[in-house]
Amino acid sequence: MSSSLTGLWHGFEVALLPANLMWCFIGVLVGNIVGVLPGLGVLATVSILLPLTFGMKPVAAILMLAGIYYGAQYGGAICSILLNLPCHPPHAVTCLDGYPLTKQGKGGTALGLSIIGACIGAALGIVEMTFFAPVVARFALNFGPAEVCTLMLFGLLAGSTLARGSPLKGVAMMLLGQMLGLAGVDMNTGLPRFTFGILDLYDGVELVALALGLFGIAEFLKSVNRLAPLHVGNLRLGLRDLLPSRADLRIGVPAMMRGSLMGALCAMVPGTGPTIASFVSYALEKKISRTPERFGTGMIEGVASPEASTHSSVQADFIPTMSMGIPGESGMALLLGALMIQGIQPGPLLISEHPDIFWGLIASFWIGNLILVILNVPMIGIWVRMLAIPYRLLYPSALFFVCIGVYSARNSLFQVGETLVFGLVGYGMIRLRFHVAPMLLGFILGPRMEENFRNAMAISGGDFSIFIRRPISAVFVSLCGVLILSQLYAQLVRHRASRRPSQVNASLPQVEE
Amino acid sequence: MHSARLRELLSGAICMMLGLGAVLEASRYSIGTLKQLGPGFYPALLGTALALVGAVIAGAALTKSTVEEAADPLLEGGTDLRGPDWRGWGCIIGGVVLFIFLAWATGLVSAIFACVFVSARGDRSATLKGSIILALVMTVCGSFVFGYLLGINLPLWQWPFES
Repeated sequence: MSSSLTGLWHGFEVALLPANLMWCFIGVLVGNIVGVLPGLGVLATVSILLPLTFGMKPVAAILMLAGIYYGAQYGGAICSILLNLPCHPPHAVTCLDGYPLTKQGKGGTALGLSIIGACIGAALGIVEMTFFAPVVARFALNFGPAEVCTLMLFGLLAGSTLARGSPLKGVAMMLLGQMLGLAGVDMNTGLPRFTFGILDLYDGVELVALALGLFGIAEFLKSVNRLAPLHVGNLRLGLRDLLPSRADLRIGVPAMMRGSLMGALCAMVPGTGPTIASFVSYALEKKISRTPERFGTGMIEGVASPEASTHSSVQADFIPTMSMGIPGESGMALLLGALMIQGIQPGPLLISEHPDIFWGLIASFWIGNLILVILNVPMIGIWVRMLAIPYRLLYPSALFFVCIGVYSARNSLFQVGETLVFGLVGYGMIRLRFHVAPMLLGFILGPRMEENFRNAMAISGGDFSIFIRRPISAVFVSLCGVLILSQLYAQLVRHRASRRPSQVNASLPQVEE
Repeated sequence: MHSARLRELLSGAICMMLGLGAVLEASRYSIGTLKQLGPGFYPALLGTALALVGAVIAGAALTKSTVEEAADPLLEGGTDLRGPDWRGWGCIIGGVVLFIFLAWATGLVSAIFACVFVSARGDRSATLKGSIILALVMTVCGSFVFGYLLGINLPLWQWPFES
């Protein structure tokens, strides 16, 4: 407890250094802008800027990239509330009640509530990380290769089945991602694998190329000529419109508390990112409300709770990534990749070996969220007007950034071609209703999982039972079993439900069951 | 996509093919012993798993009486994704290909202009003048930031096939 506080004190010393403060500011600013702009994803932005961080110090690099990630959550609500467009998945559920509020002329109130909710949610998430992550890391120090391997398996399975879309297809993408991760020269034997004689692949598939292909080019191919032009019309919002009335606050603040708690809880389950957290807390509000039938007509709780939940989950999602080196979802996988590029081995030792990075990151969360509130409250009018930037100007510029970004990752034009191939493959997969995000998760964890698997087998002398003989590992294996069984059960329930012509609320994700 | 069943079958078949291909490729590497796993073991394991998952996806598509359409409004993001858009696709792909070729042949300035201009032509609401202006602005900004400030390892301009 007290060591967490001294750590945090040290973190502020790091994060308040002028250079780090500047990078944190740039990160949240860029994040906020991409969060507002429709059709430009957070993952694409982080990957475009990733090569630029190669020359930076590790602390500055991670502060900035993390800032983009949570900063984007602030902008995302604007599009949902004012235009009824779920541009960013974590805020999709905010449309349901946020847009009706806008139609009633209370759009400003809804935005104000989302900012207050963001503060409460983020604060809870950061506090959870401050005190919980060191505990998790201390526990994870006892893990041998067998435990790490089964934990990764659990993380990967959860990440690919609990996320959106068909669980089976998620697993397929995760496996494919792992294979891509193995491409290149094998560390143990020096044998090139999956390179098909192409010399440029001997160093493996470039992380930036894969991420920009899947989340950059594939997205452009999907959205070009298909994003309807936005009619911002006469949306003019000032500072005063944001202030919620006292009655709104009396309903909203308890809902935000519940939402934050829900987000903090969701973050502890690997694979459930902010999107699921926001859906779950919306469903919770609806369930405990005395007037569930009025949801969808502009209920304050329907905006306040999911927004708070998103932010607390976004912050707390850093816990497994930073304390165990196991990212829960693709955004975290990218940040982990950035750490690894900086030569930092992720894992339970990160907190003790690199206190600058860990505590500096947490301190920068406080600073970054403060900056975001300052950016959002007085400047809300500017963000709203930014919605009017048409996609026809956006994607050609972004495409150029993709090309130059991926080139600078390795100074090689081959990588640009690689990105194009991943973009085409990714778009094909999207059309077949695969979700490509688990691919990145598998890509990052694949090589480390193989290494731990090999080590575990070497230790046990070739005996597979090591994975169930060691108690902690056995727990992870049984968790995997529970996960698979629950998915099968969910399938069964859905199958029965689809036979009866009943009203299933299609907008809620499968985790509800 | 013509029907959900066909789509699921295709998805499963692709996974099976990729999985079997990986097993085939992995069989060329040494599998090793259980005690000392070779470089081929884990890829073969992954390939097998992928092929199995693909088989289940395809099998489910064949056996189910009705393949329910997974109602996932998030996936589409409120946009209609049906039907091909050859102009958009062609221009985006062409933009990237031109970037690669021109960055190699004539340098950064021409590559930026071509990439932005060609990809901008993919949007049906874009005007010729608008695309040219956008491409010019991006060329100036991009050359300045990446070529001058960040000193990227590409010549700003070179005569083709000189080096």
